[in-house]
Amino acid sequence: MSEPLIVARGLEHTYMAGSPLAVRALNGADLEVQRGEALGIIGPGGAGKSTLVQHLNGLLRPSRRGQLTIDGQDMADPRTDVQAIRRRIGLIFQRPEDQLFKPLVGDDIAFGPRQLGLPRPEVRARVQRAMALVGLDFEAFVDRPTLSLSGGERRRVAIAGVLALEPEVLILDEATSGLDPQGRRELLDLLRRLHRQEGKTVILVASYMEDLVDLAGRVAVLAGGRTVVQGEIREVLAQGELLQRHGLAAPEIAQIAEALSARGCRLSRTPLSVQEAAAEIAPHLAQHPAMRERTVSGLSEVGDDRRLSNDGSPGCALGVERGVL
Amino acid sequence: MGRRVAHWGWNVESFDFLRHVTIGQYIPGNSVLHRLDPRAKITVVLLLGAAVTFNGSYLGHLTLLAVTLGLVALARLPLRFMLGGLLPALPFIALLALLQLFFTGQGPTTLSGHASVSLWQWGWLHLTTASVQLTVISLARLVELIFLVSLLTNTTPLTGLTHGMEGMLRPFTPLGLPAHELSLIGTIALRFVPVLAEQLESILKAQASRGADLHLRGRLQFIQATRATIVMLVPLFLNTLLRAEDLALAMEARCYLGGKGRTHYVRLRLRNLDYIAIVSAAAFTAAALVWRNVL
Amino acid sequence: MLATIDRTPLLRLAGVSFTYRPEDREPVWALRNIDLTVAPGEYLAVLGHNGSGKSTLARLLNGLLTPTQGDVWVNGWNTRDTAHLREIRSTVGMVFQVPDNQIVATTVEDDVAFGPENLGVPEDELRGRVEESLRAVGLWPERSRLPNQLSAGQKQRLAIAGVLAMRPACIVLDESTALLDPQGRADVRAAIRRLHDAGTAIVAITHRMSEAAEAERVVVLDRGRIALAGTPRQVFAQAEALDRLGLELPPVTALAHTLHRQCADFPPDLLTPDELATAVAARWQANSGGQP
Repeated sequence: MSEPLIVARGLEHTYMAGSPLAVRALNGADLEVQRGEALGIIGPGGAGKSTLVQHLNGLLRPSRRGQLTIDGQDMADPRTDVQAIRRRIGLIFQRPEDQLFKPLVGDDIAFGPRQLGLPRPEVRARVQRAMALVGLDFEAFVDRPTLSLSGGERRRVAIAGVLALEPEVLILDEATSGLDPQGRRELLDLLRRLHRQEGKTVILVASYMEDLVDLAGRVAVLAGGRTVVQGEIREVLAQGELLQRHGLAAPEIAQIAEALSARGCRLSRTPLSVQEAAAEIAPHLAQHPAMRERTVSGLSEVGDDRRLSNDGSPGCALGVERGVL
Repeated sequence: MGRRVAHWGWNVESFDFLRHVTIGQYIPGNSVLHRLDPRAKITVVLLLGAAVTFNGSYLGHLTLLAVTLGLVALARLPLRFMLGGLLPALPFIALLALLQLFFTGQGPTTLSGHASVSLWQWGWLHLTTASVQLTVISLARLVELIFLVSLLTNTTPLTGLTHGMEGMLRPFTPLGLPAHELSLIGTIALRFVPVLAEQLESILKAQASRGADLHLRGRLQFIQATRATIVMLVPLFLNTLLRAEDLALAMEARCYLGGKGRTHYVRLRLRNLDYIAIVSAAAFTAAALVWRNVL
Repeated sequence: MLATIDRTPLLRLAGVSFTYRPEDREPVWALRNIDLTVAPGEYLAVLGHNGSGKSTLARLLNGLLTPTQGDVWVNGWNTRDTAHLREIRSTVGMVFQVPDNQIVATTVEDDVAFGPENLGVPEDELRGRVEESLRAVGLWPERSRLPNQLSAGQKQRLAIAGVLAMRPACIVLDESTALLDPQGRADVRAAIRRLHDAGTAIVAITHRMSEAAEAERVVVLDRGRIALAGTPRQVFAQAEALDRLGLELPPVTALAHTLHRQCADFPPDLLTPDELATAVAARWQANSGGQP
């Protein structure tokens, strides 16, 4: 296992420190990000998620007690080249379309590369690549006024603006905020592509688990400015009671699993999507009486296993062979 | 959730001093000043402000400074906090003092009408009793005004200020003054200051995150400054306009149709303490104006 | 609860069409020929993807917009009638999507008072209304706070209180939970449920089908027309149509549909995790004979 790309330990941050309005946003947050992974950061509103990720691209410096290393560089060291970090770690804020300031789409996307001092042909190439990544046709959109675009399109322009810097790491803060189901689907597809096909390390800050499923491999839960748990997404989601205590809800699918479990029907693993849940549940559904006969005889061979796994509630069978349907 | 005002942390040192701004900062308390009617306080500040502005004598400002500090004590606010409010203005104050000290000595009389005496001269630089007096009085005025305005906002919650303003303007409505509309504008502006500050902070952070270099360095500073401003102002402006549109719609939906026929949730009533405060301030101001040239 | 008794509708849209630019030669119609009624105390959900016309529809309900063709009647008043705008807008209150952009005043209680102040409610009554509205949404303890000290969910509840203070018969919520975190959303939805239970009609405009599941009746808009209408169960049963209309079935219903495809007697029109778990558990028992 190679060295993690980002390691944060005990990060603390207080806004308006020293004044009567001081607010402790982070109170000992930890984070570990592996190269190339897709990591979710989830927590209720006010948990400090945005404050945490703003440390990751140098917008905020670790306070005396916290530690933050990015690719081996100590972020508390005043000599660290923060601009260089920002070229490698792109941070996209909530409602990124609010940051657009150039009249034309192409110019706004080109802002970043131009700031880097890149030559014109390279800037143009980057803009083209970025627009292709977000699914905006170059010819059709490059000279359109940003204000004439729909909300979803403007969001894609804003994301392209950061992608044009060609960062290795992409951090998105509440990426799907305010989007309708289709917009959301398209955005999550884009993020999946960036992670799986472009190989970028993706960090997603979200309030809803549904935004992380089928994307994040690991998840960190933040609450009250502290990291409560960090681990594989399935393991974290299985801890329903912990999540509830911190004002989070497991995705509805996982709630179904819990409701089933309460009725004595335990699934072999926590499903994260409708497809997974269907695959888990379908084999356990009682068949048409004729079909049922077959099922029962199929079971008698594994009869002992069934009795052992039965937790006493009436009629909850396990180990039924799949493919009966 | 805490209240967050703009804190540009990408360079922790860069805007730190803004933390010390005292004007606009309400400090809850129960002092005499806290308990005064907002209209009384506004009137007192206006009166004393006139005294400060028009009095040009050393003795006058000594008294005024004493009075101001006395009010700070009455409000039970820590002096350290109040002095901190001067910090953001410090560079400006220093520059102004220097300029006034050495470049305003030309006139024959001082602020208070006495003859000016030349103390030192070297080319364009000319130090005279007139310039010294101007510098000292200007400094005193600045301190007094900052303290007075601070005091007003430190001891009056926003809601008090807006209702106070409306209360004071309302008697002029029959004369055609749109008192309600003006005070609503004030209320909405005050209410949105923290919202827009946070919006600006987001925009700055977003631009910094995509490589905008907001540290101004070197010979191209002014060009960079303009560019930096556009990067900041255009999105902020757009965002503000959108908010205004939304807000207008929401107000319409709540039956806002102008000031006519509106009733008022908050009714301010002047009490004895308020009258005492106003009358004292008026008397003091009258004296300060009549004897503005003593010493 | 379907309207089988003949109740005078609270809101009625008759042949309503709307375009933002009627002067164009070929105007783009945001809404086309909408016929819709809302009964007193009814809970209606209006679903649709972005651009389907649902926000336009919302603004027609309280006279913020007037129809290009057709009429909108609120309690017997026509929304074109400017003389009765106060009555119309105090009968149909509206809560918008962005919490901050609805709050006018510098404290919570001052903001709630804004609406009744506009209506000229007598001053001795104002206090009572402000208190009652804030208590209804659970914000009375926060009454002296500054709006920017509230969370997004609290701000949205403040907006609801501000509308409640006008004692409307109907509250329209235009995507009011879209920008909220889970806790905020749950709090707002709970407040809405309480209001509905107390007899206020609710029109919830949303693209989230899980929220529409709570309504008594659902209407789905597509490109300005009503594409589907019925109870949540009836509408949610039409999975393919909903997919084409740019909507996403809530996970429970989607799962029910999938299981139904594989097991024909499994009900496809389930709305809550509990319903689904019950249906699954019933079939789970190896010895139970066929389930409805």
